Amino acid sequence: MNVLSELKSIISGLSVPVETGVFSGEAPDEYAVLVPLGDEFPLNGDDYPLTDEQSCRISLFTKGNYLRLKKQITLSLLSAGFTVEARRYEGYDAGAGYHQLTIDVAKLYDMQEE
Amino acid sequence: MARCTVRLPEEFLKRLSSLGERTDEVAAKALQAGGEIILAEARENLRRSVGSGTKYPSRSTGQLESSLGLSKARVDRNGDHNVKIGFSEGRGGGGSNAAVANVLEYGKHGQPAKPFLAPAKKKAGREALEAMKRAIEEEAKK
Repeated sequence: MNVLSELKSIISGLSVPVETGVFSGEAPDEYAVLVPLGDEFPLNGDDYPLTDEQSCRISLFTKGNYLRLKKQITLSLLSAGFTVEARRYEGYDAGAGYHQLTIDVAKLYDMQEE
Repeated sequence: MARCTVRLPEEFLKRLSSLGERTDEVAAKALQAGGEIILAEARENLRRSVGSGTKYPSRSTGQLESSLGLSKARVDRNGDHNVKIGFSEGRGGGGSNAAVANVLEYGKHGQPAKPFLAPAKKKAGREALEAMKRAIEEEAKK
Protein backbone atom coordinates (compact mmCIF):
# COMPACT_ATOMS: atom_id res chain seq x y z
CA MET A 1 0.00 0.00 0.00
CA ASN A 2 1.22 3.51 -0.68
CA VAL A 3 -0.14 7.01 -0.26
CA LEU A 4 -1.15 7.48 -3.91
CA SER A 5 -3.07 4.23 -4.28
CA GLU A 6 -4.80 4.74 -0.93
CA LEU A 7 -5.79 8.33 -1.72
CA LYS A 8 -7.05 7.34 -5.16
CA SER A 9 -9.19 4.66 -3.60
CA ILE A 10 -10.64 7.06 -0.97
CA ILE A 11 -11.33 9.96 -3.34
CA SER A 12 -12.71 7.91 -6.21
CA GLY A 13 -14.86 6.13 -3.60
CA LEU A 14 -16.57 9.49 -3.07
CA SER A 15 -17.31 9.63 -6.82
CA VAL A 16 -14.67 12.31 -7.41
CA PRO A 17 -12.44 11.58 -10.43
CA VAL A 18 -8.78 11.69 -9.41
CA GLU A 19 -5.45 11.58 -11.21
CA THR A 20 -1.82 12.03 -10.25
CA GLY A 21 0.25 15.04 -11.34
CA VAL A 22 -2.15 16.49 -13.88
CA PHE A 23 -5.73 15.81 -14.89
CA SER A 24 -5.66 14.48 -18.43
CA GLY A 25 -8.56 14.89 -20.77
CA GLU A 26 -11.59 17.09 -20.30
CA ALA A 27 -12.06 18.06 -16.68
CA PRO A 28 -15.44 17.32 -15.08
CA ASP A 29 -17.19 19.76 -12.72
CA GLU A 30 -15.48 18.17 -9.77
CA TYR A 31 -12.07 16.50 -9.74
CA ALA A 32 -8.90 16.02 -7.73
CA VAL A 33 -5.20 15.98 -8.56
CA LEU A 34 -2.58 14.31 -6.35
CA VAL A 35 0.94 15.71 -6.12
CA PRO A 36 3.45 13.79 -3.98
CA LEU A 37 5.29 16.09 -1.54
CA GLY A 38 7.92 13.81 -0.11
CA ASP A 39 9.06 10.56 1.44
CA GLU A 40 10.87 10.40 4.75
CA PHE A 41 12.24 7.70 7.02
CA PRO A 42 11.40 9.21 10.41
CA LEU A 43 12.19 6.10 12.47
CA ASN A 44 15.20 3.83 12.18
CA GLY A 45 16.34 0.75 14.04
CA ASP A 46 19.62 -1.16 13.61
CA ASP A 47 20.58 1.20 10.78
CA TYR A 48 17.45 0.28 8.89
CA PRO A 49 14.34 2.42 8.29
CA LEU A 50 11.32 1.04 10.11
CA THR A 51 8.67 3.43 8.86
CA ASP A 52 8.13 5.33 5.65
CA GLU A 53 6.31 8.65 5.94
CA GLN A 54 4.69 9.52 2.65
CA SER A 55 3.07 12.90 2.12
CA CYS A 56 0.91 14.20 -0.66
CA ARG A 57 -0.98 17.31 -1.71
CA ILE A 58 -4.59 16.86 -2.80
CA SER A 59 -5.76 19.68 -5.06
CA LEU A 60 -9.55 19.71 -5.28
CA PHE A 61 -11.40 21.56 -7.98
CA THR A 62 -15.16 21.95 -7.89
CA LYS A 63 -17.81 24.07 -9.50
CA GLY A 64 -20.21 23.11 -6.72
CA ASN A 65 -20.29 23.25 -2.93
CA TYR A 66 -16.64 23.07 -1.92
CA LEU A 67 -17.44 22.99 1.82
CA ARG A 68 -19.40 19.75 1.43
CA LEU A 69 -16.59 18.20 -0.60
CA LYS A 70 -13.92 19.35 1.86
CA LYS A 71 -15.79 17.87 4.79
CA GLN A 72 -16.48 14.55 3.04
CA ILE A 73 -12.87 14.08 2.00
CA THR A 74 -11.41 15.25 5.31
CA LEU A 75 -13.57 12.82 7.30
CA SER A 76 -12.66 9.94 4.96
CA LEU A 77 -8.96 10.77 5.25
CA LEU A 78 -9.04 10.94 9.04
CA SER A 79 -10.92 7.67 9.36
CA ALA A 80 -8.33 6.03 7.08
CA GLY A 81 -5.54 7.09 9.45
CA PHE A 82 -4.14 10.02 7.49
CA THR A 83 -2.69 13.08 9.20
CA VAL A 84 -4.19 16.22 7.69
CA GLU A 85 -1.30 18.68 7.80
CA ALA A 86 -2.91 21.64 6.09
CA ARG A 87 -6.16 22.67 4.43
CA ARG A 88 -6.30 25.80 2.37
CA TYR A 89 -8.85 27.49 0.14
CA GLU A 90 -6.93 28.78 -2.87
CA GLY A 91 -9.72 30.86 -4.30
CA TYR A 92 -12.27 30.95 -7.06
CA ASP A 93 -11.09 30.92 -10.65
CA ALA A 94 -13.66 33.16 -12.32
CA GLY A 95 -12.44 32.23 -15.80
CA ALA A 96 -12.79 28.49 -15.40
CA GLY A 97 -15.51 28.57 -12.73
CA TYR A 98 -13.74 26.29 -10.26
CA HIS A 99 -13.22 26.66 -6.52
CA GLN A 100 -9.80 25.32 -5.60
CA LEU A 101 -8.93 23.68 -2.28
CA THR A 102 -5.71 22.12 -1.11
CA ILE A 103 -5.37 19.40 1.50
CA ASP A 104 -1.88 18.26 2.51
CA VAL A 105 -1.78 14.82 4.08
CA ALA A 106 0.78 12.37 5.40
CA LYS A 107 0.72 8.76 6.54
CA LEU A 108 3.22 6.40 8.10
CA TYR A 109 3.69 3.02 6.45
CA ASP A 110 5.46 0.08 8.00
CA MET A 111 8.50 -0.86 5.92
CA GLN A 112 7.97 -4.53 6.68
CA GLU A 113 4.59 -4.54 4.95
CA GLU A 114 5.98 -3.55 1.55
CA MET B 1 7.93 15.78 55.27
CA ALA B 2 10.92 14.90 53.12
CA ARG B 3 12.58 17.80 51.44
CA CYS B 4 14.80 17.85 48.39
CA THR B 5 16.92 20.69 47.12
CA VAL B 6 18.54 20.56 43.74
CA ARG B 7 21.36 22.97 43.11
CA LEU B 8 22.45 23.65 39.56
CA PRO B 9 26.18 24.02 38.90
CA GLU B 10 27.35 27.61 39.23
CA GLU B 11 28.78 27.65 35.69
CA PHE B 12 25.46 26.44 34.22
CA LEU B 13 23.54 29.06 36.16
CA LYS B 14 25.81 31.78 34.80
CA ARG B 15 25.24 30.56 31.26
CA LEU B 16 21.47 30.44 31.71
CA SER B 17 21.49 33.92 33.11
CA SER B 18 23.66 35.18 30.28
CA LEU B 19 21.34 33.58 27.66
CA GLY B 20 18.32 35.18 29.29
CA GLU B 21 19.82 38.61 28.83
CA ARG B 22 20.64 37.89 25.19
CA THR B 23 17.38 36.17 24.20
CA ASP B 24 16.73 38.35 21.14
CA GLU B 25 20.26 37.98 19.84
CA VAL B 26 20.39 34.21 20.38
CA ALA B 27 16.93 33.60 18.89
CA ALA B 28 17.85 35.65 15.83
CA LYS B 29 21.04 33.66 15.27
CA ALA B 30 19.27 30.33 15.71
CA LEU B 31 16.43 31.26 13.37
CA GLN B 32 18.88 32.57 10.81
CA ALA B 33 20.80 29.27 10.91
CA GLY B 34 17.63 27.19 10.48
CA GLY B 35 16.12 29.49 7.89
CA GLU B 36 19.24 29.38 5.69
CA ILE B 37 18.90 25.60 5.42
CA ILE B 38 15.22 25.68 4.41
CA LEU B 39 15.95 28.54 2.02
CA ALA B 40 18.71 26.59 0.26
CA GLU B 41 16.40 23.60 -0.18
CA ALA B 42 13.50 25.77 -1.40
CA ARG B 43 15.79 27.53 -3.89
CA GLU B 44 17.04 24.20 -5.24
CA ASN B 45 13.45 22.92 -5.60
CA LEU B 46 12.39 26.15 -7.29
CA ARG B 47 15.26 25.91 -9.77
CA ARG B 48 14.10 22.42 -10.70
CA SER B 49 10.42 23.42 -10.93
CA VAL B 50 10.61 26.57 -13.02
CA GLY B 51 10.47 25.88 -16.72
CA SER B 52 10.26 22.11 -16.40
CA GLY B 53 7.51 20.16 -18.14
CA THR B 54 6.04 23.21 -19.84
CA LYS B 55 3.83 22.96 -22.93
CA TYR B 56 5.94 25.53 -24.74
CA PRO B 57 9.66 26.29 -24.46
CA SER B 58 10.36 28.04 -21.16
CA ARG B 59 10.94 31.79 -21.18
CA SER B 60 12.03 31.88 -17.57
CA THR B 61 14.10 34.95 -16.67
CA GLY B 62 15.22 33.75 -13.24
CA GLN B 63 13.45 36.68 -11.55
CA LEU B 64 11.46 34.46 -9.23
CA GLU B 65 14.49 32.56 -8.00
CA SER B 66 16.53 35.72 -7.44
CA SER B 67 13.69 37.31 -5.47
CA LEU B 68 13.50 34.38 -3.02
CA GLY B 69 15.08 35.22 0.30
CA LEU B 70 15.11 35.09 4.07
CA SER B 71 13.88 37.95 6.25
CA LYS B 72 15.65 39.21 9.35
CA ALA B 73 14.39 37.80 12.64
CA ARG B 74 11.57 39.86 14.04
CA VAL B 75 9.37 39.60 17.11
CA ASP B 76 5.66 39.33 16.41
CA ARG B 77 2.77 40.67 18.48
CA ASN B 78 2.75 37.48 20.60
CA GLY B 79 6.39 37.94 21.49
CA ASP B 80 7.55 35.06 19.28
CA HIS B 81 10.66 35.37 17.18
CA ASN B 82 10.20 34.58 13.47
CA VAL B 83 12.03 34.60 10.19
CA LYS B 84 10.14 34.30 6.92
CA ILE B 85 11.10 32.76 3.62
CA GLY B 86 9.43 34.63 0.83
CA PHE B 87 9.70 36.75 -2.27
CA SER B 88 10.72 40.37 -2.58
CA GLU B 89 8.49 42.35 -4.91
CA GLY B 90 9.15 44.66 -7.80
CA ARG B 91 8.83 42.14 -10.59
CA GLY B 92 10.05 43.45 -13.93
CA GLY B 93 7.21 43.52 -16.44
CA GLY B 94 4.57 43.89 -13.74
CA GLY B 95 2.79 41.31 -11.65
CA SER B 96 3.78 39.91 -8.30
CA ASN B 97 6.46 37.34 -7.51
CA ALA B 98 4.31 36.00 -4.66
CA ALA B 99 1.37 35.45 -7.04
CA VAL B 100 3.57 33.60 -9.55
CA ALA B 101 5.06 31.50 -6.75
CA ASN B 102 1.60 30.69 -5.42
CA VAL B 103 0.48 29.27 -8.78
CA LEU B 104 3.69 27.25 -9.00
CA GLU B 105 3.29 25.89 -5.46
CA TYR B 106 -0.45 25.11 -5.58
CA GLY B 107 -1.25 24.95 -9.31
CA LYS B 108 -4.62 25.93 -10.73
CA HIS B 109 -7.23 24.47 -13.07
CA GLY B 110 -5.30 23.43 -16.18
CA GLN B 111 -1.88 24.04 -14.63
CA PRO B 112 -0.33 21.31 -12.51
CA ALA B 113 1.20 22.27 -9.17
CA LYS B 114 4.97 22.04 -8.81
CA PRO B 115 5.37 22.40 -5.05
CA PHE B 116 8.76 23.69 -3.94
CA LEU B 117 8.14 25.20 -0.48
CA ALA B 118 6.25 22.37 1.24
CA PRO B 119 8.77 19.69 0.15
CA ALA B 120 11.64 21.95 1.33
CA LYS B 121 10.06 22.24 4.76
CA LYS B 122 9.51 18.48 4.87
CA LYS B 123 12.96 17.50 3.68
CA ALA B 124 15.10 20.06 5.49
CA GLY B 125 12.96 20.62 8.60
CA ARG B 126 14.88 18.26 10.81
CA GLU B 127 18.25 19.51 9.55
CA ALA B 128 17.14 23.08 10.22
CA LEU B 129 16.13 22.16 13.76
CA GLU B 130 19.56 20.64 14.38
CA ALA B 131 21.25 23.75 12.99
CA MET B 132 19.19 25.89 15.35
CA LYS B 133 20.16 23.71 18.31
CA ARG B 134 23.83 24.00 17.35
CA ALA B 135 23.53 27.77 17.07
CA ILE B 136 21.98 28.00 20.55
CA GLU B 137 24.62 25.70 22.03
CA GLU B 138 27.39 27.82 20.50
CA GLU B 139 25.84 30.94 21.94
CA ALA B 140 25.48 29.29 25.34
CA LYS B 141 29.24 28.57 25.38
CA LYS B 142 30.08 32.26 24.95
